[in-house]
Amino acid sequence: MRQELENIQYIEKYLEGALEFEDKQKFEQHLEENLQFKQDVLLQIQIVQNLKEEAFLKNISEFHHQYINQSPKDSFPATKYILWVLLFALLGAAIWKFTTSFTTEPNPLKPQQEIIPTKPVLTTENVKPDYRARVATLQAFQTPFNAVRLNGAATIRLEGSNSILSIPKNALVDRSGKVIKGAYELKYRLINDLSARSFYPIDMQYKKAEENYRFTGAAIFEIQAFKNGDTLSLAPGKSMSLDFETIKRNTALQLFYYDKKQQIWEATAAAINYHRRGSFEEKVDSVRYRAALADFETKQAAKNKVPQRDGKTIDLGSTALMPEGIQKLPEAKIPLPNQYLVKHFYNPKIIKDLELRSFGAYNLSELYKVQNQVAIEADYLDEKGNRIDDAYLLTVIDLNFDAAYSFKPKEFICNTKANNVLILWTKSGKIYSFVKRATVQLKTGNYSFNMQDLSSSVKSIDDLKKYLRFVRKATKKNVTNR
Amino acid sequence: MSKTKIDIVAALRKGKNHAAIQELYQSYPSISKFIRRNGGDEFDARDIFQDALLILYRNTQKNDFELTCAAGTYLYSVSRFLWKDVLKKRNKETELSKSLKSNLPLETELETFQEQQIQAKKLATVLLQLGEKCKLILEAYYYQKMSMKDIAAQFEYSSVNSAKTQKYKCIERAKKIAANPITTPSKF
Repeated sequence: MRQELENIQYIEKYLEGALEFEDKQKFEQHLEENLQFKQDVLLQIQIVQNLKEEAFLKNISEFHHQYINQSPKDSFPATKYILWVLLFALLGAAIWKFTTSFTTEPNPLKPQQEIIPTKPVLTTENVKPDYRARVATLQAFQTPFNAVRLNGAATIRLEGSNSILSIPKNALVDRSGKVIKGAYELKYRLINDLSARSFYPIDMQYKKAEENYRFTGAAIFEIQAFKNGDTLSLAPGKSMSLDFETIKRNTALQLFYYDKKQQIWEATAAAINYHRRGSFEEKVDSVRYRAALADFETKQAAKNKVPQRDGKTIDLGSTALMPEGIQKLPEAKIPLPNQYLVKHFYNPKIIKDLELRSFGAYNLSELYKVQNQVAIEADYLDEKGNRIDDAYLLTVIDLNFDAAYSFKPKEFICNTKANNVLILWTKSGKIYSFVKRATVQLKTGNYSFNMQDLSSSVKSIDDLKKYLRFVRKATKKNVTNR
Repeated sequence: MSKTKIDIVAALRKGKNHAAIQELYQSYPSISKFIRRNGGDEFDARDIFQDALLILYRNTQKNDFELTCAAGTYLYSVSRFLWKDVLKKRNKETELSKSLKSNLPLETELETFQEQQIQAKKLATVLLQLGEKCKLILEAYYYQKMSMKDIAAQFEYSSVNSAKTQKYKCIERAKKIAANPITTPSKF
């Protein structure tokens, strides 16, 4: 077993009381004298403790669900239940009457998705908030990192994209500033889809001259490097080069870098060099050119070869008369490279030579200010009209600007003239949505939103992509028909 | 639901967690009723009761812990105290809190609990990145107290030693992740 693993075994034996008296004394002495070792032991204790507690909480959560389902009478007497049902029915009827008089455009997605400008006081009894369910659900919406093992200078094509990353030689250093030799691990992820960006854990906001901007058309790129578990950084003066493929062409893209310490996005000095649509460069088609040269050389050789008949040389130069019906072929000309030029069209979505001066998170976006801004104080109702009171996170997706930004569910801002999709997360791991079409304009104030439960159909980024594609199509169709 | 009384502390130490949880849940109705009568709802009752269970579980994992009263009584006292703290945070001091103000041992317990929760939150990220198989192996050994022989058989390792090595590798991996967390899921 490796030394590191033996140390872990040694610590475990001590914690389980399995060490001999003498070894135990040695262990404790080492623990007092060596701070690094002490921290290592503490970390091992904490990891094991956390693991056990997580499993215990999972068991409790499962048992609680089972317990509540088995004994509904303990917490919800039948008479009380009937009263609640009656109350819900009455309130439901009142809300229905009110909403039918509220003039909104018919929703292309779900007829019952309506904004109710009232605040009915209803509570849910059947939702089981469980933060572990929430963590698991959110994790399904995170873009995983790709890992690649490299050695020295490298040029790699990023997984799932035509983007190319180049790392120069002697560019990586460890914490002490020593240049790394040999293999290292590179981890990266590309988040260039609106659905994946909706759940990016960093706030997508940028401040410039005391004004708040959002990012539109953002493509996020995160990169890290490790050697034997230690984080590496770029050597001073070194930089990586990235030819970045964007999903969509925006006119005023800028590259931003996330400053972890200050928790802000900063614009980098990198200039965006976009190739215009249809731009190309001419290159010699070397294969065809080489073939033509070879052909020419063969012909020349044949020409220079002196013909013979019965061992006697025929002097063609002295043949003055050409027989009838025979024509002399023109002299073969040496092929020139410019006769073999071909056009190489540039990929218009690739931005060449972005300079990355450190590892971390980058964001290639256009800045924009939310237009026609309204501030909404919100309540959310499920499809049965019950208030969703374990709302946890709200993501507002602006389909017109291809942007996504998150809020605490109670209050949010949006462009009232845009097609917006509100995605609501709950503590119990449920996902709800509300589609606000551009034709339904909100004003600053209080609203209740009738949400559609997507929990059973949207379980991953891909599901969300499909859903947003559907919404985009449906909202466009609706606008066109008008 | 089982009516047989079991030694809760021993059960939680030996990994007989399901049986212990089943037994402990017999205290839930009274605690739930208490919280609902004092300004809370079903969700509050469930959260408070589960926090109280976690405090009891943490304590049982310490060798020097002894339960000097019935587990139900212990959970009831801890739940009352936790609920008082919630009410305090919600600025809803009630009559209930007055009767509990001088409970120093529980106050210390609450402080420790809150500190441990912060620590647990930090390490939760590590466990998220650990990988499902590693998590299952470590859970089987530390939480369910399965023997390495059974673990080797369940996870199809050729020998007990290979299973042990894998277990140590998983801890090593967890330590490395803890030293270099990749994602920043603090917002979630």
